[in-house]
Parts: sequence; structure tokens; C-alpha cells
Amino acid sequence: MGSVIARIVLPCLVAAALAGCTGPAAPDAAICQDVIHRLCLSPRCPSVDAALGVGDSCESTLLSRTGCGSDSFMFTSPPRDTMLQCRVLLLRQGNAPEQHPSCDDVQDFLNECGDVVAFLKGPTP
Amino acid sequence: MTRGTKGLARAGALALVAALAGCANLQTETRVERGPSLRTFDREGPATPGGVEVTASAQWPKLALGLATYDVCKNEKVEEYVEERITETTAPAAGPALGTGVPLTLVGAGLLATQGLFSNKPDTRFIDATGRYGPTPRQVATGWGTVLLVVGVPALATALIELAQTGEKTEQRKVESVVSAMETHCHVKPAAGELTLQGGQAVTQPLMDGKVELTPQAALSLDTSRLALDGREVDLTPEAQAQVEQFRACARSVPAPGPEALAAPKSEVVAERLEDAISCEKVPGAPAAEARAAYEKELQARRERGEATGGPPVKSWDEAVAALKPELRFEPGSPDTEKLDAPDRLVGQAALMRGLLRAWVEPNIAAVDIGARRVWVFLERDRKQLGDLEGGMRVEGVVVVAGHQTLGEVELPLLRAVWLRPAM
Repeated sequence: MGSVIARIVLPCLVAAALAGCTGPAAPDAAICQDVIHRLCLSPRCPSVDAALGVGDSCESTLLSRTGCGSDSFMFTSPPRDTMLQCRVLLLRQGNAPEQHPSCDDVQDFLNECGDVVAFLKGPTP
Repeated sequence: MTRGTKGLARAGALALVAALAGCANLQTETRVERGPSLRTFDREGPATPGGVEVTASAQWPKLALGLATYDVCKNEKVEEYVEERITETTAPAAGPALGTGVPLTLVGAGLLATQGLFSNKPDTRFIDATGRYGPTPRQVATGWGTVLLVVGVPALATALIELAQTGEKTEQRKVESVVSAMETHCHVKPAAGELTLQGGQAVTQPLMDGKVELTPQAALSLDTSRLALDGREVDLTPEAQAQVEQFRACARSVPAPGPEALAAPKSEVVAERLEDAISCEKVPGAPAAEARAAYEKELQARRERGEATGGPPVKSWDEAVAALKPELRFEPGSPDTEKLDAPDRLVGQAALMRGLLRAWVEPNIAAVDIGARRVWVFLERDRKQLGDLEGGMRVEGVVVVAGHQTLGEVELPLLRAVWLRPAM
């Protein structure tokens, strides 16, 4: 009976228990900073430079353009949900903060999330 | 995964744990042992109907048959002892359950008790796909503590329940065992009714106090295998059968007829009457001795006349010696052997003979050498009755001198052998 508990029951319970354990909602600024950080992780995908017009100062440029560097930043357009949905595309390789998305995933992000790309490009002069 | 789904998943997991942990596994083994003996006693079982017992007693000239009814009583020897029924309950899974339940319960309870000591700040390094930070350390501790308690408490409870039910229970009861049983005739009382004596002409006689008396003539016509009491067949005991036969022997042989009448029957008949007279000697009051003497005298006279009498009715060496009482000894070195020079002077006299059987010259006549002297030995009974008596064998016999006999051209003394056997 002890082996059944150790091998099957306990992990199932842990998974069931922890499946409902999550922290508070991350602020909009943190989500936006996370998306920018993943896009700008080196080695950057060429499509990022081409689509967003950035270089080696990719992250600082995008934070400045979007205003996400401020802790009081809040999503207006695109809305928070849109940003989260598009962010999921960049999480396909993993959820770790320094996990580099594949360039295919990045391309999908650039293709499917026009609103977010426009947001990252900044206001049109 | 929605919150409702999460709740159902938790509830299902909890129910599964409760069901698994609640199954107390107890093993029971029962054995029966014989305890100390309390007492031994005799017990009479119920009587069952037996039958009718027929006995016989003879006092010449009356034969009394006694009939008595009886039941069959069973006497049992019973031993009473204690029987112990021992039930042993074990819980082989209690140990592992305890080993699982105790640490899990302690750790789980400890985590829940100390959850306040854990930080409630989320891990801001990590944002999940739904845009939420990872669980706080306090949330992790609470989750683990709950899970461990959910598993540990039922396991601990199961172990404690099982341990409480283990042990040994002994039940005692008295048991009776029949060690031995003996059936005897009981409630014997004289029978009443009418006894039918089969054989010849059926005769019915009423019983007087369970008895009926028979005359010698009635005894002779009695068919003991067909006695009936009020139409129901009855059997004689072996002892009664023997007494009836002895009484019949008397009926056939006593009193002995006079010498003239005794001379008429064949020797075989006389020999049979002699045998009956000998058997009759066991019947109280019967004049068997006189009858026996008369029959023996007649047979002896016939032997002396040279007639074949078939010998006295002997069935062994010892009976032959007892019947003839030989006084002569025909064996090498015996002075009696010399008297065979004139065998006609010894006719009718009995002797013990010892010699070497040379050969059977006739089926019942052998040539026997007694030292240097040869004689003819005539065997009246069938040679096969005495076993293997072959040429070249040393033999001894109980004989009666019968004169001399010429076989072929050889004349030798003739001895009539009543009994012949290999020499010891």
C-alpha cells in the first residue's frame, strides 16, 4: 500500500493541489517587459530587427517606445488579454524567463499579432 | 483549467485517498485445540429392540429349550473435555500504513502549522501563461501540508484501527467424545407364546415361563434351523446348538441295545453309535458310559474275529492310543518284536510299531521293516487321510495284530494299522 501511495496517489494529489496554487496577477508593465525581453533575447531573430526596426539596444528601445518601463504602465491598445494571448506564442519553448523562443515562434508572433507589433513599433510620427 | 474543474479534481482525489486508506486489511486464522480432559463417565444409550435368545440345558432324559426376549443396550464410555477455538487476527499492512501515516501526518501538520512563517510574496521572476505570478512559498507550504495530511491521516487512522483489532481471542466449550461403545443384551425376560418345532411334523408347544421341554424322540426330529416363536423365526446360540447335538447323540446311542441286537448292524454303524455315546457323556444323567462300553466291546469282538471294523472312531494319534491302549511295542531291540514269530497268538492285541516303510505293495498294504523283520501293514482308512507316507520313510503306528497274510508268494505277519504317521 505504501508503494501505491508513493508512486501514484501522492503525485496525483500534489498535481491536483498545486494546480490551483497560483500567485497574484502580474501588472501590465511586467507582462509587457517580459514580452519585450523574450523578443530581444540574444541571439535576436532577424525578423525582430526587420519588423520592429531595432538593433543591439533592442530591449531599451522597445521599453522606451512603449512606456512599459514604467511600473504604472497599463495596457490600452492592445488590451491586456491580447498581449497575453500573443505572449503564449513566445512560451512554446518553455516558460522560464530566459527561455529563448524559436524564430519560427517569433515569426508567428509577428504575423499574428499585428496590434502588438504596432504597439511595439511606437506611435507614428 | 477553470476553478470549478480544479475543485472537482481536488474532491475526486480526496475521495480516492479516503477509499484506499479506509480499507483495513485484516487476516483471520482460526484453529481448534483440545484442552484438558474434564471427566470420563459411562453412559447408557437408548435401548433398541433385540430379539429372542434361545438357550438349551439338558438333564437326561429331558432337553429344555429356554426362550427369552432381550433388547440391545449400548453402553458408551464418554470423555468430556474442553475444546478451545482460538481466533488470531493479524494486520500485515498495519506496519507499512503506520510507517506511511505517521511521517506524512507530522510533516503535513507541521507545514500547515508553520505556514505563517513562509513568505507570502510571489515569485515575480515567473509569469505564467495566464499572466499570473508563481505561487508564494506560503501557498506551496499550505498545498503540500494539505496533501500530506490528506494521505497521512487516513493511513494513520487505518493503521490504528487495524492494530486495535489484532490479537487473539479464545472461546471454550465442553465437548463429549465417545471413546468406546459396547452393545450387550439387556432387559432379558422370559418369552411368551407358542414355539413351533419344525422338522418331521411341525409341532407347536406353548412356553411355560419361557421354557419348553423335549423328549429324546422330539429332539431327534427337531430342526433347529426352523424354530419359530409365534411365527417369527428364532436362532439358537452356539452353546445351545452344541447341547442339542449332544442330547441327540444320547437319543441315538443310549441305551445300547443288547448283544444280539448289537451284532446285527454294520461295523460302521456301531462305530458311529460309539461316537455318539462318547459325545453323550457330556449330558448329565445319561447312561453314556454303559453304552460306550457296550459299543466298544462289540467292535473289539469283531476285530478279534478278523473283521474290518474301520477301527475305533479316532481322528488322531492320541485318540488311537487312548482307544486301543497298546501294551506291546514292535520296534528294533524290543523283546515284543520276537513274539511276531507266532503272530496268530497275538491276534486282536494292540501295539505301538516303529519301522522303515519299504514300499506300498498294494494301495493299502505296505511292507515295513522292523529291524531285520519284515511285516505287512494293512491301512484300513484312506491313505491320504494320514498325509504323505512314502517308501523309504521311517514310520510309527498304532496297530492291531491280525495274524499273517500271504501276498504273492511271501507270507508275513499282518498288522492292521489304526493310525500311521512318519516317525518323530
